[in-house]
Amino acid sequence: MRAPDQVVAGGWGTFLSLPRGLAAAWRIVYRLAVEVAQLALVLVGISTVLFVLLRLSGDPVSLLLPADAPASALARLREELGLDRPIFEQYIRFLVGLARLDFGESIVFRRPAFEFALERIPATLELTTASVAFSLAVGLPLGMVAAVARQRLARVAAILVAVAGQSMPSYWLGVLLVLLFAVTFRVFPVSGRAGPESLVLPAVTLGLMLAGRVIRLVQAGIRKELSMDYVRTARGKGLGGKRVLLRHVMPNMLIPVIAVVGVDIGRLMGGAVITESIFAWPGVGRQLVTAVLQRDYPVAQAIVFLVAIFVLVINRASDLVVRVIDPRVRST
Amino acid sequence: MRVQRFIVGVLVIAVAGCQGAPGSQGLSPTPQTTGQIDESAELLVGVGEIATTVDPQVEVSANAQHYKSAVFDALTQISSKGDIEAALATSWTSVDTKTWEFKLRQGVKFSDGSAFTAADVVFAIQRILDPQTKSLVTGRLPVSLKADQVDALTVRMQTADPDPLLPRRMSIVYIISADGFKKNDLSTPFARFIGTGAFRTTAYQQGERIGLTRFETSWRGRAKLAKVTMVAMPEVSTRVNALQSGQIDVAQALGADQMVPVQAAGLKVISGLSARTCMLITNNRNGAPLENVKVRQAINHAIDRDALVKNLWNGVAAAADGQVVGPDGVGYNAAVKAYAFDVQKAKALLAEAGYASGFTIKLIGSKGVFISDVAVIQAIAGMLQNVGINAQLDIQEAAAWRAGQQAGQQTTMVLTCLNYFPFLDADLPLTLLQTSRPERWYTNPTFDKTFAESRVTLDSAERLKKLQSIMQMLHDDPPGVFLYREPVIFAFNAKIQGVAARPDQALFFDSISKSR
Repeated sequence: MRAPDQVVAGGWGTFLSLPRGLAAAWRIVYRLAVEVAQLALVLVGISTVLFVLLRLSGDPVSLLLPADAPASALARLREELGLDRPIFEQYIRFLVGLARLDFGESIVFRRPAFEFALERIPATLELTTASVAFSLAVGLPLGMVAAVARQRLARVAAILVAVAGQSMPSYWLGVLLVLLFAVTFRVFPVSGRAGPESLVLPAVTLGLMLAGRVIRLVQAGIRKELSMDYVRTARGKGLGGKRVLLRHVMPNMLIPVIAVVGVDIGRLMGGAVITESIFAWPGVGRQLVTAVLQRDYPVAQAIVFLVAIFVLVINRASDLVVRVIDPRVRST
Repeated sequence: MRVQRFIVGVLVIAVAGCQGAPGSQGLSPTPQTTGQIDESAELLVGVGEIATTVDPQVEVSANAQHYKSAVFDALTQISSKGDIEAALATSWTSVDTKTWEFKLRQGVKFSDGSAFTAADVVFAIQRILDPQTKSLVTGRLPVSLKADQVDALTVRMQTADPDPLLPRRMSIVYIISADGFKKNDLSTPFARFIGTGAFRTTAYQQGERIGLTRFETSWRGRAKLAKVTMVAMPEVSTRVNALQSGQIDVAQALGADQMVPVQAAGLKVISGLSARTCMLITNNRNGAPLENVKVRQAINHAIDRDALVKNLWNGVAAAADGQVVGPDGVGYNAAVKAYAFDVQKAKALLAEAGYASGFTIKLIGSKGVFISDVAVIQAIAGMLQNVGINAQLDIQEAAAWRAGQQAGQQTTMVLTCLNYFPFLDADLPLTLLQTSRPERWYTNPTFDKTFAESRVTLDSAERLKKLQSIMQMLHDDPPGVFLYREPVIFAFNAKIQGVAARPDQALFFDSISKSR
């Protein structure tokens, strides 16, 4: 018989009988350790796949030196960059470096690749954050309009925005926005990162697809929630339509929205590759394209590693937020 | 009602935007008046790529050339016509077959005020050849190169073998202040790299932006621009849009298809020819049918180079003169003429070679290695079909194409482009046709022998004669079809003057000015 003040802890703690306070602490530590281990495993996996793919994609030395360079110059540069070593040795060096966050020196820029990638992360995070803010600012109200507006035209217009957002590829939308608002009306700059006005067009380009998803999600969610018993109860208690919608329906609606946005932030960072190229936005997306084209292995690896960390952390954070605000998830 | 008004507004804006697309009638040009030169002006330039480093002794890419030629000088420089000119050296002579002596310009100052001397030249050579520097310039310098200071304004350079190209090679060795570098000031990325050019570096964001400010007392004279800012805009469409919106003054490296809409928008366009010849290699090292010279001559007659230039390049490229360099390259032979486009003659030559009913062969192309490479190779395949050659297209991704080139796996026909800049000399592209090269594109013992002789012939007239005889040789026993020279295209607004499209594709800011 187990003593009443002792409980079964999770994981390996299952085999242990711990006092109640310690068991709770153990559960947290255990969960945290599992999370970190999973994160590390995923990062090593992603980095390994990238290591292999980049090595298969070609030799950076042939791109760096002129075509007429003698074979001795090619061999010398290959040796200087450590590319003459066996692939397995290069991989071991890469893993050791990964543990120290040392991805080596950029082949093209001749400076630590991780430092170079870190410099560019703020621009991409700024763009991604602005895109999410835009998609929520557009998606939430238009989703409500699509679900409950009395005028049919308003509902159709909201759905049109959702369909347009999801169906227009960013490389097309970006160019269209540039022609319209930068070239014709000259309201925003065509490219670059100089002040808040330069953020508008890239953020809209990147965020419109997510806005479309949010509109559809909110519309479907509100319609579903409006048929629930608690809504009937609230209305039965004499609450007005607006109050029911904003105080009772919307908080429940936000749960799937947060989950979707959490997952889609990763997609947005992927989409930033195209958007940053169109708008010459100095983030990691554009640099990743350049690094791959130039076979700058260290920079490409450092960027993918950083982006992977952000995506994994944001996914986990959105899970946590959902757990906090949704007691049903918490109880499981 | 409000919602309806909003929708109507959005539709109106969309329609207006569609009408305003570049090249369409709806876009009104931005009229600019040409006024007095504004000597306090800043020039904003949209470039494809920014120099990856501010160290002029490391990088060799064409993208760094705008920056390097603005801030630094070399001992010599190559003019747009291919002539070698004095820069920091005023004269050079060969002391013996393996030694060159350079007399340096007196009274030249670096932008920090210090004097330029022979010590800076010796330092530059030593630093570039030092493996620690990891300089890419070494690929174009003799490994055995040594530099010694004779006096404050004289430098001697020695090589293990005679090197007639050495004065031209010195045009890519950019000189920095040795003392300035040794101070090791790391406060900015560019503080250690002090030059003698018309501008000095005042801002640098790696891969994104370079800012230059006029060096008032440069030996080159006072530039007409106070500042130059180069901004990286990798997409050509972004550069064009930025120019049309007034965000930049000059857009670099436009495509031929962008010239018409840019001009329609009231902007100026200038085009020239680059020192880069594209050719279709017909590899003669792998037996029949290409080892037969008549087959290779037939292929030359089968290709309509003028049609390629007109249809794929809007006429701004130029059909090559049957040789690997243009009139601006050392070695050009005016007597050599390209094979005429003649389908009947091509068929007759194929019949003489025993291929009256044609043959099937692999035609290797690349995707994204050269401008319009896919369109060009497809057009060539169609032309070959007309004379009975069934060309099976093998269009490879850039990495695969380059790997195949290095491994000598391009054993049939392949489209490539060969640079003869920065030296504007036939030596660079001819190197790739030697039997000993890993590309294994061509073999011809007489060519190998004559080319080897040209590389150690110091007498420039004698050397020119050898190179010209090589051009004739490569016409008679062709390694392929010399197709066209790629264009260099810049666009700029009406306030800008002095933009030139040079063979090295670089912008030379000394000659550019901006009106008020």
